Amino acid sequence: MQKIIKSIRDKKTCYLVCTIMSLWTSGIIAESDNYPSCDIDQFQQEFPYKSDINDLVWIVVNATTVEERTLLAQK
Amino acid sequence: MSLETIRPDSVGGFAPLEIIKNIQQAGFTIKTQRPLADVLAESTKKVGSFPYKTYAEVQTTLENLASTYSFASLFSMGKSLQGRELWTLRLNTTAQGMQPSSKPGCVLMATIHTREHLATVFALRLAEYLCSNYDSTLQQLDIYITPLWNPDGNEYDLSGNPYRCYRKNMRINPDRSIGVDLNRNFGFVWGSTGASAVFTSDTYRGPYPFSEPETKAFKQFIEHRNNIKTFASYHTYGELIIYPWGHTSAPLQNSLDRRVHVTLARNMAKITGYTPQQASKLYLTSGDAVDWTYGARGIISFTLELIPQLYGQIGCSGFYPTNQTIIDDAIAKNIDAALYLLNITANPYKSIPIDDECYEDEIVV
Repeated sequence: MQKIIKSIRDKKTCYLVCTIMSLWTSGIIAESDNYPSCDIDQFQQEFPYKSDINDLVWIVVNATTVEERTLLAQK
Repeated sequence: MSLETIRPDSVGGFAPLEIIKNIQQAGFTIKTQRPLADVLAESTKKVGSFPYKTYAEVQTTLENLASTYSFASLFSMGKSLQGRELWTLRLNTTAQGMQPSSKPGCVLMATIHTREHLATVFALRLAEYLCSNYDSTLQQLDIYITPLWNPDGNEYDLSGNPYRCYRKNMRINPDRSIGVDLNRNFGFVWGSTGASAVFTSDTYRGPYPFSEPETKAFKQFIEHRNNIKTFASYHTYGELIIYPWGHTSAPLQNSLDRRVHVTLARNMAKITGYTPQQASKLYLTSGDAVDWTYGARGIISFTLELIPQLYGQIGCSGFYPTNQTIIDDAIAKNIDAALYLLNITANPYKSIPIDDECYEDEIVV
């Protein structure tokens, strides 16, 4: 697995690296302690994040109780 | 959604666009809605030689301390997702690096949330202070300071101009969004209330407990050290001293433990002027660090939210304070509070007053 990742990292095809990491995350393939590092800047240029800061919004919501704030915190 | 500014009638925070409708459908009214990019442009412009610390600067400072003082040693608690070291300075006269020690231990961690950079500045200043004021009390202890718990996020946030106001680590999620909230990823009542299963959320808890290298390294570090008695996790902001539980509004069941947490929080609050309270008084959270250190390991644990107390209606500015005088004052007060915590680390329960009936008002029903 590490050889494959090294190979695709050399080609700077981070998308595939990230797909594999996603498979780890999903538990579809075994997780490794040796996560491949991903060239984030390169990845961002080639495959813009689905949601980075640009998709976040600052909101003010009318919550007054612990229960309401907790509900928001788990959104 | 991350909750950053809590007022009696409202809360302000960051939410992904995709859940806005969901929040409204749950019956909430959204009073203000602004794209983060606009907020950042207004509130987090870089300020000259502002003292937030890069990974390299943190490493250099810690290396200098370790090479200057014989009782100081530097080691890595583990590696971050992108392979950076979780540098930890250890102060101990008889053990170095990862060597075991029977001395009472105190672990001080900072900036698990990326944008809370002031906590790292504080941790470095604390390390410098302790090294240059290493008295006989400190010599009886096993002290660990990790100024940068989330180094990947730190580099990402500080590389932005303006800063990115980024919170999580740099995990690439299955939907190609970025980040797990490390302080919702710990394995004590993980995945319960107050943490999100939505990848894009600022409070995304991760796919399973300790899924992230940054939390897993800490877990393994703590589990190999039975001498750790006290723990503090430094954040910004809110001027709060918070103790477990976070996942439930019930108080700690163990009376002694409840009283020692309340006592220490109150005494640190007297030093800092901050507000002591159980974590769940704000809102419930699950999978956070202090619930795990206390719940799984029995360590007396606190989260300290540094300055400011509240910052307008827009949260980002609160993470990037600019007034050096106020920053220095906050750091000085929190160094004193940390010294108090260190001084009682050998036997925290001694701090409980004999007549502590007043603690009943801390019980949350």
